[in-house]
Amino acid sequence: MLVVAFIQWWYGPGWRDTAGRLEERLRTTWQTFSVPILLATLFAPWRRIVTSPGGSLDARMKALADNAVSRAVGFVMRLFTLLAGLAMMLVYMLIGGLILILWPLLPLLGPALIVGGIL
Amino acid sequence: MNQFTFDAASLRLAKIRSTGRIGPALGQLFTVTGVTLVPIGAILLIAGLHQSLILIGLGASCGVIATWMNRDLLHLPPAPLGSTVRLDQLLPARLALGYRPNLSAAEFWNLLARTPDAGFMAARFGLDPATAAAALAANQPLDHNALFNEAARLAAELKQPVLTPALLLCAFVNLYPTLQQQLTAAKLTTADLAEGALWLDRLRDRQSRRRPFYGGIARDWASGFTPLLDRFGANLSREVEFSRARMPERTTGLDALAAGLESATGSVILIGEPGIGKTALLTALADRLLAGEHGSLAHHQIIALNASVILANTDAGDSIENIVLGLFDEAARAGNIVIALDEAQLFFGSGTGAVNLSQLLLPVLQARSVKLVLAVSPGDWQRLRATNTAMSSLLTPLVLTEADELTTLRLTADHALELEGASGLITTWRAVQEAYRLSGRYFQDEAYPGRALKLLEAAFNYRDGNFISERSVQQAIESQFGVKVETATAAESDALLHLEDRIHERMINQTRAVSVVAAALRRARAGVANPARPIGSFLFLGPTGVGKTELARSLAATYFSSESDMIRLDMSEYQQIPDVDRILAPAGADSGGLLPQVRQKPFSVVLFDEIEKAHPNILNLFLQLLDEGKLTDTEGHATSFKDCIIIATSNAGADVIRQRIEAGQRLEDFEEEFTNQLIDSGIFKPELLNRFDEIVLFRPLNQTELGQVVKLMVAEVNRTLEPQKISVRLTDAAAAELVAAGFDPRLGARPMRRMVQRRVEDTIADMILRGGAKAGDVITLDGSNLVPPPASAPTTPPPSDPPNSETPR
Repeated sequence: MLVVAFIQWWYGPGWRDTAGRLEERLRTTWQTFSVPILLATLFAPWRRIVTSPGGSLDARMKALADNAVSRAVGFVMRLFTLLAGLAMMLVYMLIGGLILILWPLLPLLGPALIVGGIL
Repeated sequence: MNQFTFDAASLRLAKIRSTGRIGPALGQLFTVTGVTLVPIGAILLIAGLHQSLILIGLGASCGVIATWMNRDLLHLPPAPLGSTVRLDQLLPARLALGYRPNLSAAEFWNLLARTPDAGFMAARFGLDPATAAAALAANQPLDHNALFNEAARLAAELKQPVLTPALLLCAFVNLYPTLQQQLTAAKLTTADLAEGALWLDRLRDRQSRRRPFYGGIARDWASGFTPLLDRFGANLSREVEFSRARMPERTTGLDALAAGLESATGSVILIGEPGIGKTALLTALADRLLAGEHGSLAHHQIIALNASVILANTDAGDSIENIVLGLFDEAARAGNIVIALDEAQLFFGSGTGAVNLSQLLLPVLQARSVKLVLAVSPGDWQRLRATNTAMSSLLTPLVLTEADELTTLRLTADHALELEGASGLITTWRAVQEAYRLSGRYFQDEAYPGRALKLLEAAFNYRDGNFISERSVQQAIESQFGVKVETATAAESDALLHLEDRIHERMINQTRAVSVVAAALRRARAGVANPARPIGSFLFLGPTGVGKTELARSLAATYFSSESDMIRLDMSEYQQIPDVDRILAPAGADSGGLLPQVRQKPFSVVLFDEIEKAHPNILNLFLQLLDEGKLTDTEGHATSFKDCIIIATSNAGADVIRQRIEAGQRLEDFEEEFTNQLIDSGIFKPELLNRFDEIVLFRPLNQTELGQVVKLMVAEVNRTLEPQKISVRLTDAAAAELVAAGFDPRLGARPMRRMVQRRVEDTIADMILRGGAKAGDVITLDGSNLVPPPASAPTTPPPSDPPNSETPR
């Protein structure tokens, strides 16, 4: 009876549950790396460090340059964070995808290896 | 009614049995084996050992089994109620494992009692599993179907989707009166037990609820730095983020608060008494905003500013105005800050430690550059509206309502679990109920649920063994307010039963007055008196100097802790209409007024002397005081008199009493007629007299009784002389002379005090000063060595207490 129970679970809820876990892991990574926030604010100044433009042309140019630097710093920081997050998600997808594909064969893998070792 | 079945051969049961009681350990064993064997096998395979495939194969198989166990066999939740009638599917795994359809009542109870749920319930609801099992006869049959139907009914009533051991325990107790007796003995009902099942459910829910995502690592990268706000404010959002406690799912008013902040004004004023939950609401909002809810407010942080903290941290070179402007400016620049002004009235210059910054706040509100939440009491909101219309019109008011009883009990119970922490202490449901009841009675300046939570926190200093019990809460109240709320101890019961004797050690005669007052105290301590009214309310009528005030004083000294527990008001000082406001003055206005004194000493004797002299409007206040046990001050705060003994004295009709007693009548013979005369004469309204528990007539003292009074007074003199080790003794002749000289039927014992003062105390003083008395001496006074009486002393009434000549028509 237990064998039936195992087969029922492994090829039914167990497989679905594993897919769900992978999805959850991807979502967690997406949130942990603030992907939605980073995408929405990719070009925003870094920590709102901005200079108000002054009256003279020089002052305006200086403010423009300062603000451009702040945006550039923000962009670089966000971009690298985004890339790191996406890379981690990619790794999860690869490993998780492989497990999902091999899932039906995993119960057979152990006995097959044991037989292989004996032979 | 469902007909429940049990299939012992079902697949779920087989799965449960396969892991048995050591299931989790077995799962861990397979996991560890798999994780160990696979790498070892792999290393050996690389080293060229072909047979190591066996190790890898064994490890992989262990991994597969461990995965199955950890994710399926060890997590077999019961089926939802209504989906099946099969108990093998409906019962929680642990119960299903031991369940058989032929279990007796005691056997099922023992099975239930072994679950952690039952342990939680039993400890907190005074159910001793062993005693309960013993109460069930050994072979008492169990109507299984009735039990599970009752549990299903309870589950539907409590909106619980599945059968839990706690629900089954409730159902079990509902079916067996012998178990209900245990509950009754713990002053609980089956409804309380059902509430316990919900309490446990909330605990499980909190434990299993996952912390939401608070935006991730880059959440604040598009917002500015806030060094000044970090220095002067308390970042509620950060506290939420790093707190281990879980936020409640929903808090009343949260949506309205968020909507107010998102509205055109952008600023909200929270109006509610202290304790109503303003900070809790802000904390709950902080949780929601961090989680990214509420659109434009998503990921905003709430920083609470406190006026006194800002004042305390102000540098010498920087004005408070500059700092506050800097704080608002920083919040505006950061772009993700909601500023909360706790006790906002302090920023408008109202209250102790206040600064008036309304001129700074107004432009901030007008510019709408910063989201603001202000928290004030209703009184402060009224004042703000009256004095600063421009500012109040820029705020969206949100009036918070006080939590009802059930909500407060639940919040208090949940708070208790947080307070317990790792201390190992267990809070009983009775403690939670008592915290609700007593905080409502004594924490008059605060609202629910805050006051109940505060009292429960205080009760954690009074552990009762391993428990925080009803007694712990009572002790917390007793130590804070000096009231007596615990069940009377044997010594106290004895004192209460012999209260009359103890009072008579200080008072002569007036037996009836003494006995009615003592009986009122006994009723109150035994819990028989109406808790919504004062402990007792008495009107003492009689001539001056017969012991009316002395009885109040004796009561305060003998039963209440000391004479200082008597609050005395001379009602002749309250004869004008403006005096109504004076008597209802709130704590801030007059700390020596009646209401502040009662708040400070809620358990005391309140004496209203010469009540007939007060303005009729003040007498009208007594209607509420005597009926509802409270008075409301001019600011609308109620002060409870429910732990007070109210004594009003009056000389009205004193002459009539004296004449009738002299004519040989007994008080009992004309008591009713006398009261009617008082009403007819218009001195007191019938509705006032009717509200007193007792109207007690005091009769004039005769010469023999005055002799006893003299002895009491001499004993008092001896107590005063005790440090000097000198004592005085009066001969019978001296006592008789004092009585003869001091007797005045109109003034009672009052001239006797002056007589003892002038003739006894003065004699002793002379002797001490002349060196005629030294330590260890017993001075015997007879008629010859007493100071001679002053010519007019006995008949001259004191200016403050003239004999009353008012006589009812």
